[in-house]
Amino acid sequence: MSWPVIVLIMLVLFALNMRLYIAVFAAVLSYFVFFSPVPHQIAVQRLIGASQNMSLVAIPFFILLGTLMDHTGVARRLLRVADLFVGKFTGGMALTNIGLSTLLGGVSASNLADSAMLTRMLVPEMERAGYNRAFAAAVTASGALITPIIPPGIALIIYALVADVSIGSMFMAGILPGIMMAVLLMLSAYFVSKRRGYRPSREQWPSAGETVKTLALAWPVLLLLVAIIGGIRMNVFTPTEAGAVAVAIVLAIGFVIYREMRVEHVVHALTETFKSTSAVMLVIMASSALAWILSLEQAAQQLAVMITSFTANKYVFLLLLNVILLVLGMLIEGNAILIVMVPLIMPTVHQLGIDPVHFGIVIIVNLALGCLSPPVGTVMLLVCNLAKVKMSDFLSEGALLFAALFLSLILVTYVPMLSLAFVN
Amino acid sequence: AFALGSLTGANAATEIKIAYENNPGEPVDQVMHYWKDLLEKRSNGEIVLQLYPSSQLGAKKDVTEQAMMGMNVVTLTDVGFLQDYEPDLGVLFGPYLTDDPKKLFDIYESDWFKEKNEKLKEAGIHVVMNNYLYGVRHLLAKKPVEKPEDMKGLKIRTPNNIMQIKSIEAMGATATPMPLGDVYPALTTGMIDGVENPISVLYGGKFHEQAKYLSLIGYLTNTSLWIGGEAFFSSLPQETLDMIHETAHEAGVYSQELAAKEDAKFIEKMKEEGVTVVEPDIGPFREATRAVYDQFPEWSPNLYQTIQDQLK
Amino acid sequence: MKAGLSRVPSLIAGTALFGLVAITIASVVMRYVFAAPIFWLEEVSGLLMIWIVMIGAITAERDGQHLSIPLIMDGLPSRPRAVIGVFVSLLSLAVLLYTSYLGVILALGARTKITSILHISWTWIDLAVPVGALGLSAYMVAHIVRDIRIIAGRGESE
Ligand code: NA
Ligand code: NA
Repeated sequence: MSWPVIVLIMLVLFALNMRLYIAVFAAVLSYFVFFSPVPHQIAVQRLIGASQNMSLVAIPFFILLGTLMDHTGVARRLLRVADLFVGKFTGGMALTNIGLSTLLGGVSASNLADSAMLTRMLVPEMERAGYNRAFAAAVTASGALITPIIPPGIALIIYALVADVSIGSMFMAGILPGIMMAVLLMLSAYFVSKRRGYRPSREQWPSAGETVKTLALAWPVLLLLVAIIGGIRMNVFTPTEAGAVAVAIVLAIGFVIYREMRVEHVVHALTETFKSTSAVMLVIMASSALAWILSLEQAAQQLAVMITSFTANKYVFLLLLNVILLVLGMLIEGNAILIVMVPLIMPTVHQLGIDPVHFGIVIIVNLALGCLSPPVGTVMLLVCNLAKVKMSDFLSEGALLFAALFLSLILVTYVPMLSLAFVN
Repeated sequence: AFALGSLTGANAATEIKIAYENNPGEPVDQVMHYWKDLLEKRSNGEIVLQLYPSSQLGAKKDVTEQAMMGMNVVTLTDVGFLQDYEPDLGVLFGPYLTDDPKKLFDIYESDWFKEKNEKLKEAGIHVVMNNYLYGVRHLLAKKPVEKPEDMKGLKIRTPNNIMQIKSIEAMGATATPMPLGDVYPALTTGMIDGVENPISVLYGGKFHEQAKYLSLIGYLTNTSLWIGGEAFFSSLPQETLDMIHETAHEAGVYSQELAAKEDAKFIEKMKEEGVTVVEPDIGPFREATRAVYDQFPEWSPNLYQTIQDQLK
Repeated sequence: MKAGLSRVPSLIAGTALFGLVAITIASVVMRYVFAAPIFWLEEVSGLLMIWIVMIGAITAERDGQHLSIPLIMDGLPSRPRAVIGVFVSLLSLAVLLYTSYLGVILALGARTKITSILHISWTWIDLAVPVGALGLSAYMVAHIVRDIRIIAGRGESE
């Protein structure tokens, strides 16, 4: 049981304002030096291991995409289209942001990639429109958490495989909770906007003429959206590839159609992109080295034994599970937790008569929230870095949104019908 | 958890970590539990196997490297993978090498393999189990495949292994390497049209929810090896080592029995779930893939013939 | 001269990122137009990705973009903060230097660990870590010098 000591070392270093990735890796190295006979260079091997995961390549692509869209006027024109439909509402841009997340949630498998793109694309525009930047960042990050819950999602598939339920059922089960999260988030964003006085951007609904004119001006942008979403939906490419192809399309739009782009913009966007990619990838990589130690020490097994010893009542069991997963989710990546813990907990789930599909959605929603929680919530880190927002501002500005997410978790946990309504 | 008993010569139990990419409950996991129980019983709890399914300790290459650095870890690998260390071994992963898995396992006992084994040892690899049957690899696709011509235009997922890529291409399909975890969504979107693997793995990945034709082309009898690092294993007392090898062999025999049983079981299950099972004449497939054996200049001369003579 | 040197990492990481986008697009084109997927895409992507991250980290450090939690330290007056800053930077430097050393050991030991398609030795992947960590160490030394000046009462307290 050396792992609690290592986690403690890490938390102390966090408090001293050490770079997060160095703090995590310092804790990792302390395990190799003080607690284990395993050769030390394996620590570096585990650091590198996470960077070789192809799905993470989507992160720089979507950051680059969002940055280029902001630089070239593509984002501005897209929002002008959105404004036609939501401009009359208080907090219209915040609602648009969440709506776009939900839409992307249906095609992209990665909440990191989605939040990266939307942050770069929408946060600057929201700030120009008078929104607080930290609030805009919090809206984007919260919205991105819907991604893994709305099908298709990698987490839904992984859970289906380890818990032996049908992938189709998991996909159906994710729809209603995903929509519910979107609605609750929109309500919170609306209340905050109302209180802050983020007024509607337009007094009246647009005229037919204005609608046609705006749409006509924005056709390349709409084409881009169709290419990304349609491209993934209609058999053409993976989300990672979609990111790269979309970058090519934006470059074409910027250079050829709108002619607002220059080579300096591309160089600047590339620089911004690799800096943010490095900042967040190093934390992900160091955390995955830490996750290796937790695996080696069978930490998840020990926690699973603890959870499964509380089998008296299924509501108590679910509550305890949620608490432990929220804590664990702060430290290690969600899918790793799914794979290791679910098989160990499943017998108890069956014994308590909890529907395995419902249980899966509870876990996945819970782990999604882990992406936001400090210290190593990856979505929060990425969004704070991209929007240049302090973590403390992010947390205080987003409080009501996070409350909505938390409420979603409670509802999903204690109202099984939300998950099971569409599952036969 | 603070010491490797055997490295320090202490009298604590010998702990060995067993790492594999497959998930809990799959045949690999079942065989490892069988081995673990067998070894613990026979050694009176002196030799303890700790199981790490689902790539918890890293990808196959990484765990192999951990073993070679001296860690007490054993991992599932195959000759397709070990050819990086000893190119000739790749031939045992060739298409339609033999009809009879038993003969294939005899090769692993032959002088030819003993020689290869020495070379692996020099590279730091210790073969712990050499009679593991991962399964016979078939094709699950969105279309029935009766003859190689039916493969034309199909995008088939393969592992990132040159021998399997060449075999699938030789049959006329387009090989599309990607991680197994990406296969389900890739089938959903039509990015790929099919996937090859042993039937238990195909069923375990639920790929039949998306592709409804199982063609029993059986192009590869996928034998596997469990390997550790020479650095760790050479530090064990001979008695311990013998006990590990003996029980490993018994676990290997169990894997062969299990593979046959599981194949029959999962074919039935797939049929129940609406999959059409196609049994093509494999003659034309064998012909189509023969040329693959000529594409490896790094092999010893006449390697294919040497192996065929061994197989007689 | 110094400003020129600090641009080198930026140039490398930017070019690598551009290359990563280009080969990914190329692979889509190859798959659809020529029905010939690029088998080595995954291997080269992994190689580029680790170099982008490790070299990009140097530029990110130059521009103060690495993530940390300044909440507690921000509450302290500048001198005690600088004292803790020196301690944290020294520890960071030690971590980075030891990581570089381990990275070299790992890279040298990985000569027989090769990728399946292109047979690239893992050495070229592993080396990104010591190269990046040494670059980061240089900035860490600069932070230590800055904080010591603050403690001595001669430096700026931002
Ligand atoms: Na999704
Ligand atoms: Na997390």
